Amino acid sequence: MGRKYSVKIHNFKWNKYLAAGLVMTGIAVLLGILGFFWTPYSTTAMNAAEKFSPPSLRHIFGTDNFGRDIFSRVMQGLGTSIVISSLVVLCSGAAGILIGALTGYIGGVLDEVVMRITDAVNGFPSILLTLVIISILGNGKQNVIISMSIVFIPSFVRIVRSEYLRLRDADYISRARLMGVSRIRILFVHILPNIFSVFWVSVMIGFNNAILAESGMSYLGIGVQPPDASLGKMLSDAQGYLQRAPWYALAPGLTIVWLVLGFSLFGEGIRRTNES
Amino acid sequence: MKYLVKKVITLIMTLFLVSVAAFLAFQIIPGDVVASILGMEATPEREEQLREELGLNDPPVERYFNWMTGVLRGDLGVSYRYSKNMNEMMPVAELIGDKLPVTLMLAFVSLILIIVISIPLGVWWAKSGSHVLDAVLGVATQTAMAVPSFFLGILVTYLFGIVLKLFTPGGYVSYREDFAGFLGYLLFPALSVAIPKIAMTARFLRNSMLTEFGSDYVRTAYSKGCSRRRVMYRHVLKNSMMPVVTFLGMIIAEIVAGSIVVEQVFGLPGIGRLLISSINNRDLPVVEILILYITFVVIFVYFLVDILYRVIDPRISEV
Repeated sequence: MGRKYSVKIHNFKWNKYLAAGLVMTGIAVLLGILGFFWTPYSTTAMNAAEKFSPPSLRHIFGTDNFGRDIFSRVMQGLGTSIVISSLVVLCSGAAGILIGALTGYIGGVLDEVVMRITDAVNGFPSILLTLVIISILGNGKQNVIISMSIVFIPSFVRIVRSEYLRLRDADYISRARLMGVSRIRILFVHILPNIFSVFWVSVMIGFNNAILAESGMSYLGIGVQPPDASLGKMLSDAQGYLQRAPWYALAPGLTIVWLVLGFSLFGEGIRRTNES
Repeated sequence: MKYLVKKVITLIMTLFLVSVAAFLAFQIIPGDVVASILGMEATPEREEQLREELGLNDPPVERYFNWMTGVLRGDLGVSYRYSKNMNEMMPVAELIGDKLPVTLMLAFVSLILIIVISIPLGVWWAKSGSHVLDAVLGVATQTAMAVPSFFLGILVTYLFGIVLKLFTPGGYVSYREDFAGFLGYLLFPALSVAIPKIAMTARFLRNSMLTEFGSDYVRTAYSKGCSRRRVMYRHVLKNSMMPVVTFLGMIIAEIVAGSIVVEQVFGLPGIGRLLISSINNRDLPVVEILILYITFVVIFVYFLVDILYRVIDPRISEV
């Protein structure tokens, strides 16, 4: 409201949130990507002699009920989580930009209809909506990505739309219009770069929710199916051995917390940079 | 009054749209229900007979109205998967009947916990000027917000169930047999749903109070001789509660969703588990009804919050 229509020049300022978020997500993403190519131990090799061995130098997160190395499995689960959430954020973010730009800039009946739908979807618990779409499409990795992307679109639409609404009547846009710049060019060349500082915050929140939703669904047995590793599935397996091997549940659980915390600190950091 | 009527009409319209959407969504699902009920060896005659019984041969519009009028009269249809006995199919109403209270109770207890813990915590946090406390609570709440409810459920099971032995994991007591025991068991899943929301609400209240502290009426209250205590509770807290009420209303949907996931962790026989198993079994009539129920609860709560908001703050009732 009180903000001026100034074009932001990147006077990037570091803050502790940004630094902490970057370090935390950085470590997790690196480990996750590494997990696709190399893990300290095989993730499927069973070893009866080392069943339920507690965390040690040999197995830093310990081993599970089949004697498999938990750290290696966490690395793979992390990879799956990160790839799925990235795809979800990419798809829903792109769709959100497209829809938000059109509704925010053009307005009118289209805007009204889209906003009502967005409100309805936003008001509904996202994991439930995802479950509903999954129950229509069926299980599987692709369907998890599709349904989560659909559910996440409205949150992006909302942010993008409000930014376009704010910039629509900015002086530099009216001038561009006077000069006869085409609508598409105004939408995506003149306005789009200026919404990114705000957009990144919602991308981080999107990552956050995507990781929570993905792990939640695989915990419920509806998301990613074996043989694909997933942190949620590991947690539900580990629950049965809570008394015997608490580290089995702690490892994937704390990994999810680490990842989510990293992304939320990252988002908070970006938000504070925007404000200063 | 005019406002109330308008709101009720919107409520009904929304429910109608959701029911149409739910019905349509399950029409486009691939796969033949009849074949999946009867199995591969069914004769074509038997299939045709069942199709007729389930009303699957009628046109979609007619089926929607049959389904909807059934729902309104309390006839929720029959489950495709569960059967009462050899010849009778399980009515959805019976399947849901004693499961719904468990989920609603869980959500309710969680909400109470959130209100009872987060408000004093937020006030205390805003009141204390200590930097150490500020930093500790800041980190603690930020971390609590990042813990997914199912993992929190596992942590609670481990800490309170296995280490401290305050409850028996998996030892659910039905509310019909022993209501106190039921509540005692429910406290722990409710805690798992509530903790992240407590962190959020406390943060929110604290920020809201700190903003209010800077406003003119606080200075006025001080200058007319109010004690700090009085300013705090009579003026600041009252004004800071407004956004908190809205916020609580906004997270109701998440509390319901959280309850559904946490049921799974603690083995509570609520509608969450039924929903998950029905989705896995493609038991569509059950899924449809559950969605309708959950939507109804969520929309109805939003409606109540909206009304409540206007009662607390008469300024907006004119809009």
